[in-house]
Amino acid sequence: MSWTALKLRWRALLHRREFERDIADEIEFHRSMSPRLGNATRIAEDLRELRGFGLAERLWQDLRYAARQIRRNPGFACAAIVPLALAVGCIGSVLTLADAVLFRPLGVKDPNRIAAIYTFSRAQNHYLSESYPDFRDISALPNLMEASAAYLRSAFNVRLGDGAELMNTEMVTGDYFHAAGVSPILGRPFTPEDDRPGAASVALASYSLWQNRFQGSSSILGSVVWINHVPFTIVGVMPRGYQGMLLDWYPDCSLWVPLVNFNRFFPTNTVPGYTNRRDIPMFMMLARLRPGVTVGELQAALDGLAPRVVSRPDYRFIALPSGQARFFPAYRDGTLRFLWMLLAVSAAAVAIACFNLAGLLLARAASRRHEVAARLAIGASRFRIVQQFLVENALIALYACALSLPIALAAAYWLRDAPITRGFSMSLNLSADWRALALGMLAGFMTAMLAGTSPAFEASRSDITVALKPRHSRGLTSRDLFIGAQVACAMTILLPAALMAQNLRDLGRARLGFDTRDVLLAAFDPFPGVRRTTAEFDRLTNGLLTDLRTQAPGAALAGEALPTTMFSRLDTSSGTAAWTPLSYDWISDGYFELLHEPILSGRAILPSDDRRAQPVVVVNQSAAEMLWPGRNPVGQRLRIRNEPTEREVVGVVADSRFRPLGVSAAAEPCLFLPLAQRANPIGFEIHVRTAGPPLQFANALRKIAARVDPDGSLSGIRTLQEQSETGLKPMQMAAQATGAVSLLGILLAVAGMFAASAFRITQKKKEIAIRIAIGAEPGRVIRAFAARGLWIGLAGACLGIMPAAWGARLVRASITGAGVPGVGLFVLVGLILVLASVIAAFAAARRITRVQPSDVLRVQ
Amino acid sequence: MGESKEGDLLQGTLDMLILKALARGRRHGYSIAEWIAASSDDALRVEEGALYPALHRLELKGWLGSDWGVSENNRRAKFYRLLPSGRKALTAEAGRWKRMSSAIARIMRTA
Repeated sequence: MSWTALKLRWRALLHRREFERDIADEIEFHRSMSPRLGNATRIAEDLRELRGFGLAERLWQDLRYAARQIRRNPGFACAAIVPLALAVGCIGSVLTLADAVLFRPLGVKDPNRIAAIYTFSRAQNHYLSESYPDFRDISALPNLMEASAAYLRSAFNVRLGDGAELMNTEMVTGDYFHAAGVSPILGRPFTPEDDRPGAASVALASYSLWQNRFQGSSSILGSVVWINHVPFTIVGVMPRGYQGMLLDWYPDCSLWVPLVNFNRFFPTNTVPGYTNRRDIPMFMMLARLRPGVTVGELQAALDGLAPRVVSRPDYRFIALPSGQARFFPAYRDGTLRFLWMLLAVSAAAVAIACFNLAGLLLARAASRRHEVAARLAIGASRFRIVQQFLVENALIALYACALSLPIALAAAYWLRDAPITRGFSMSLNLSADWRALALGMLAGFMTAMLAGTSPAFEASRSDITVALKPRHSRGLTSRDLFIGAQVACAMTILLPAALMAQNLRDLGRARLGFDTRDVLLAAFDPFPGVRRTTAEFDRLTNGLLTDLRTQAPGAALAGEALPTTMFSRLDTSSGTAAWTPLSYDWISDGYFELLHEPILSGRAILPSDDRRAQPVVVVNQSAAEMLWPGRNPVGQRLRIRNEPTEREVVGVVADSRFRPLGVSAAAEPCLFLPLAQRANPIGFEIHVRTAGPPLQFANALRKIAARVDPDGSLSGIRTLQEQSETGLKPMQMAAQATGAVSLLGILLAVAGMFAASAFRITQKKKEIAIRIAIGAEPGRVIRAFAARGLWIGLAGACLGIMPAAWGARLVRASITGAGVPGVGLFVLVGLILVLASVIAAFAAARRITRVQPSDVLRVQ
Repeated sequence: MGESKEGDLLQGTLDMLILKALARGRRHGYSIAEWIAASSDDALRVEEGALYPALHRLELKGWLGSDWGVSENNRRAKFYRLLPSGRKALTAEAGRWKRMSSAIARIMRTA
């Protein structure tokens, strides 16, 4: 564009009125000289175009016009914008979650060179962590790894200044920082020297600990922190947000210490000589590959190593690239499927909102037919009309995107607490991620534009002669199609939602095998770093049980509160058979009575089953059938690896649910061992049967615990009911999400149906008035309209059957415990939607009765 | 802008005719159209829908200048005049036209 042109164009833009007058005058003068001038409007438009800044300027004009239109019709604007904003917000929050879970960088150097290494049991088809000897052997593989590290997280009693609290602490081997590729932002990392016996006790603090306790001051370096009563000197601070390599393991890690301190934290020496125990797989392992080495090469080396070292023949080592190693591998697939399901639900929400938008835009195009026809008549181009409608559509989508931001952030906040991996919460950084939100908004925007295309062209198509007269359409209109599509979308998500509601109800009724009513649970850790003997432990548990039983109808202790997701199993053998890993729990006397679990034969655990007595065990029915098929288990003996003597089976208890509801349905063989015969006692769960609502007993429990053991720490006070429902959380959440979206879909479909019917009635008022005037019954006219709702609803529901079945399959794949939808459920959901459509059409049609023929005919 | 018919002008040719019409002084749009019609013995008619956009385009190119004056029927009218760059363009265009038309004439003669 030349300088002259730019100057002239600016002048036209700045002195708009003068420019318009000049154009008008020039054309008017020509007309005065020669009356046979062509289309003056078109010429003026062409001249304006020449002088303007072209497309940009026209867009700006259209945008201002669109903004005025939206302001003038707040009802239309709300109906179009709010649902779209909700849907786009949903997508944005799910993408934020997916980004945090799958893609957000862990804040380490060269993550592509990191591999996580696990043991995989082919026989049981599940992953295990590594034992220390495994770690040592793998680390010794030559030429592949630059560094490797083992680590382990645990909650410890931490004293920093005054007051102690439980903090998650990671114990790491000396090369951890090199292997993970993370460096402290303050102070120094650990070196292999820090992880040797006799080295000075040093620790690193997390960024948030540094900020909260030291206000970000460098005085943290050299400060002393007491971890389980062992003093450590803080030598560094981790980068902000660094939460280790695994997202799903004891979130909010606050401290890192060298692994060599392991035995100092567990003075009672829970795992003696762990460095030589191949049967205790308790460490996570990561390796930093040398440049150029692939995970496949490492895998090949591991496959060569495994047969020589693993403790069981079906074990092998598996190396996972760091991208797949953000979770304990067993959780990854479930997490991915859950994210896919959330994404599918929000995509359905966007589809519903867009069909709603398309329907509204069509209605709007119809109501503006006169305006469009007039503009076409005086020389506006069709392209210009389409462009203007599209700009208005874009503006609506933009408003919706802007409004979706707070919705996305709120929804992401809600999702943060979502137990997306079977009841495990994750340490996720769910701060606003602009890439994820922008991607969500882009998707919403594009879909909305797509939805607006056909209404825009429909608007510009209006024929001048026909449009100036009212138009009647008898057949199926595009609006009906959009409403049908909305009904189909609603069906697609309503069915999975109903399916999950049904499953939740069924699972809620499922037999747990024990009585969850009126039981209070609390975790008790009697050894936050204090050296205790087994005698002291027994005195303490007896004291607790005695005190509790004087104040409540029942009390018992157990190593784990069931149902549990605990992984560890005890290697068990009955006589000559090979070792079989079995689930287990350590329990006190009174446990089965408290949970109302029936003893099928023999006896339960008694107070007399203590350290002086014969070691005993109670097995459940499944274990009895597995170990001694067809024989009486009572009186049989079994061995547990690393125990000096055999245990005698004294009783068989009925099967009960060991795993959370929804996780697995199968009964599981299980051993119950007396807590008073546990060689290395650690914390346990207190079970109290209460007379009233369990949580009312919480304070009494706190008092008793503090009196019996002032050093002990009581945490996790909850009811057994809550505990038993943990496995249902993902399904509850999925049910809530799909339920909310399908409700939105139904509401929009119903509103659309209502509006469409109302619109048709307004259009046909004259016809209706005539029919009523010549004696037609209003009831028959109403029925005709309601029938239309019936057909559209029915068609939509039928259209929705296939995608609904697909949605149900997705749910079944992503939520453990979800069942197959029955035909009845399809019919029920379809009926709900058809009924909703009919009611909407009927409600709108009732206006017919208010039509006074005389009024209508006079106005027309 | 309608289908092409006899007497319609190619855009480049119209630009040249406009420049030529203004070669001997300022004129308003109507007078340019009239001059072209009269000079061609009514063989060439310029549509207003083509004339005014062309005038404005040449103005934007910097070949024409314009000012407002009073017309012969006492109305406010826009007068265009040739600017030096326009005169240069006219010379170039005329030369090219001469070469082209004689070339076309030669071809037509051989037929």
